[in-house]
Amino acid sequence: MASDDGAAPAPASSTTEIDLDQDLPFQYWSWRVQKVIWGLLAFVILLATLGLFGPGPLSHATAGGTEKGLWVEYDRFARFQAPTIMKLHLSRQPNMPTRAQVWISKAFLEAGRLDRISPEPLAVAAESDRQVYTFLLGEPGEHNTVRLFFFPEQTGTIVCRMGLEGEPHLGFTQFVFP
Amino acid sequence: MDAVIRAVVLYGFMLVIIRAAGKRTLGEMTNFDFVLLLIISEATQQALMGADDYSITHALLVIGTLVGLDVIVSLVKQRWPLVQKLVEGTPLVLIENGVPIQKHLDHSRIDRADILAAARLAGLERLEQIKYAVLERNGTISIIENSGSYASPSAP
Repeated sequence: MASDDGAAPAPASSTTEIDLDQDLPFQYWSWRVQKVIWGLLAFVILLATLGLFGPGPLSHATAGGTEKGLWVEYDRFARFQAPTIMKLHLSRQPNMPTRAQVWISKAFLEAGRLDRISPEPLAVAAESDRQVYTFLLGEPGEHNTVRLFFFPEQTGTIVCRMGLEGEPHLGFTQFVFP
Repeated sequence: MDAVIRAVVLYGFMLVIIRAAGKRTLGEMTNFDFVLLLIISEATQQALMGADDYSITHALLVIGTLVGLDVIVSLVKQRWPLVQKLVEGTPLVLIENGVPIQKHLDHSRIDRADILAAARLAGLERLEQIKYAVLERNGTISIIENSGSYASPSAP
């Protein structure tokens, strides 16, 4: 239908009437990619909840047998400069002295910062490739737990070696996310 | 070096995650969106600055890297239009001659109420008065009246 001023009739309805950079194939492709990213995000959040990037069921691990004088609870996964707690479980066997000397490799200690030890050791001695911490133990059969508050300061895999004097050492690794 | 790496990684991640969240996340900001933005900025700030580094040098490096990245991205977008599409998306027609394109509305997570809100800001009362409703790159909705005159976007 012609307009009142005699101009040509308007063309049939179409998005080509509007000057727009719409790109439907690209848009539909973007939506598919978007859904994939949402799925990945949900999966990562689920893994994070389970402890992939820090404390949690996926990350929790132990080293050493519970029947030994020393066994350790630690997190397989940690984050750069974020605290990770290691629990050293010490058992005083019958006829064992009241003090336990736990050594930790220097390579591990240099990979981060040991911020706090609870309870504090009676003594700390530095050797060429390790540090030795002396702890007071309770009665035989009593359970003693020492908490190490460690802040990794390098990313990637770090190896920890520790042990009780006179016992085979324990070795485990932690992966530190940036 | 770590200041630059942190800034680059975070800039890239924010670009992807905000893009993946969709245009409406950028457009009309609700109270929830505002709170989310505050929390994101706080989390980003801690990761950018790292621990125990309050030096001016570090701050200047981070700011300079972010601004530099922004300039690089804008130059690349100008040179390669495909990059602009990837980074910013494209406009999308939501309503044509008063008829909603439901597929576009669903995928953009926009409903009739959002369109009508944009229309009211343009001085319109009913869906039928809308010739085109376009979801712009920045998440705002532009309304074009049936008379053919342009109505300004729904967000400032």
